[in-house]
Amino acid sequence: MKVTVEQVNPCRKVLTIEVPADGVATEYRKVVNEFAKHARIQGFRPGKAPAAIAERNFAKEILNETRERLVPVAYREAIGEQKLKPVAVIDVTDVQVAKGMPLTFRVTVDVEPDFALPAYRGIAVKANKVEVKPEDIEQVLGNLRDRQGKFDDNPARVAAKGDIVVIDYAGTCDGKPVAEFAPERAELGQGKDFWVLLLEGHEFLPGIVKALEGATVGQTRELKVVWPADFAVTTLAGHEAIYALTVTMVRERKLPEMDDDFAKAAGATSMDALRDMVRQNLQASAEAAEIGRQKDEILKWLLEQTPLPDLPQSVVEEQARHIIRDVVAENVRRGVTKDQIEAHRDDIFNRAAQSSTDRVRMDYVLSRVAEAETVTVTDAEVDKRIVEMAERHGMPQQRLRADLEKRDGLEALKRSLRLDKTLDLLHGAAAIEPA
Amino acid sequence: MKNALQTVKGLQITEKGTTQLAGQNKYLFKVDPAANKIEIKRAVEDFFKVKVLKVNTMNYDGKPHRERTLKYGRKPDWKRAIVTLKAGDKIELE
Repeated sequence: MKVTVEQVNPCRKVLTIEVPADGVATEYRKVVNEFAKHARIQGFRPGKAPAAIAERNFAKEILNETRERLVPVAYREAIGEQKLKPVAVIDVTDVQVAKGMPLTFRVTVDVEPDFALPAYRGIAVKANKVEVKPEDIEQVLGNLRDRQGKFDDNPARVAAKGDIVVIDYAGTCDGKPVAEFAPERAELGQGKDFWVLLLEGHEFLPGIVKALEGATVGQTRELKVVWPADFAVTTLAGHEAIYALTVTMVRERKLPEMDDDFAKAAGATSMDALRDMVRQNLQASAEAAEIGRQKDEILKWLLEQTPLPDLPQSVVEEQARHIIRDVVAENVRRGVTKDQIEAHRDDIFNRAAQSSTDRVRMDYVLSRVAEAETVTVTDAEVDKRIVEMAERHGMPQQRLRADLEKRDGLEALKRSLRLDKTLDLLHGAAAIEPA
Repeated sequence: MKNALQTVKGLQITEKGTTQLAGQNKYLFKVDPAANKIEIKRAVEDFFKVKVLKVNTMNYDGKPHRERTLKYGRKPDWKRAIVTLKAGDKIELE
């Protein structure tokens, strides 16, 4: 077999393969005999026609079959002979096959890039100090307290921040009810028994929180609203509206006391225990974040130090397709319309192209490290990951496993586990400078 | 006189014709039922440029045949000839 290799770029090669005529003839004979064994030809019982007649009747099919059989075998042999590691076959062209002639064809393949790893053990990383500040703990406790807060009707209360004020309201714009301007958005025009939470960022009319602060039951406040020029309701855009807000009730927010009862409701025995629990949680998540940051730094260093100028294009494109699919799926799940996605098409494509290059580069570098360190993934580890994933997605693990198997996800999962383990290994071997 | 192709309708390539008779240098032809042995011999010699030693013929009745519309009929009758060639002469099976 004759093989010539042309290098198109560092990761793409074109092999021209020639199988000698006698090799082709042997395979051709075999195919002819097989055809003769099953051929249905008029004048003969099935399979009883002589090979020569079968050959004449099925000349085209026999040549095709010979080609189908020889090309993959010859390709594999050629790859072995040239010691190439193809990652993708781009195309097979110029296949020439004829009886008694050598078989020639050209295969374009992408091969793994060739690169040397830097010394990856003992990568210097500076650790940041992980500390939980008392105010962080207080903030978490404050959030907890807010969440346990209750609202009670209190007609004598002067509305303050955090309370809920129940109002009737009606708006006029240029002397006419707002409802006339925006019939499809009735809530902008008027409302009854409308609950307003007095917190910034929860305003359905700009300035309403400020206008209602300090109000008491029975009071009527006036609110002037100037709609911005780009307001979604075009009939109102740029107009000024005046709302009359009549307070019908104030619901006072009552926060629980920060005592042992509060702690018990949050799942701790006492206030001190709760503080301790919060501190531990914060500490753990801060430590995890710090380790993640260190790993990111290790990866960044590794990518910077590894000379890897060219990547197999097909793999990068494949990765980009995956990313685009994920982005689109994620957006669809969040309720973004098709038109909006279409509008950001170029943006999505550009970003996918960039991040796929990074990801493929990272994959190669890490898998090379994994090879050098013979990192392997056991079935038990895969199972564990599947259980974790199933819990996170809230689906039965059998179904998740079946899903994964259906779309070759198990292999991908194994690969990503292997890379994770490699990164762990790199982190373990890194020279971490304590803060 | 009828030409060779009107007399000899074609070489019959069949299991019996090729595998059993080939060793004896005999060939099967479908021929015009009206042709006699002499005409067949001349036609084969003329067309294939070979020397014919012997011609045996046999008549076949056309098979009964029915259309989907229940019209009954028959396939036409036909004649087969087994032609023996002189040793060394040969007809290429096409």
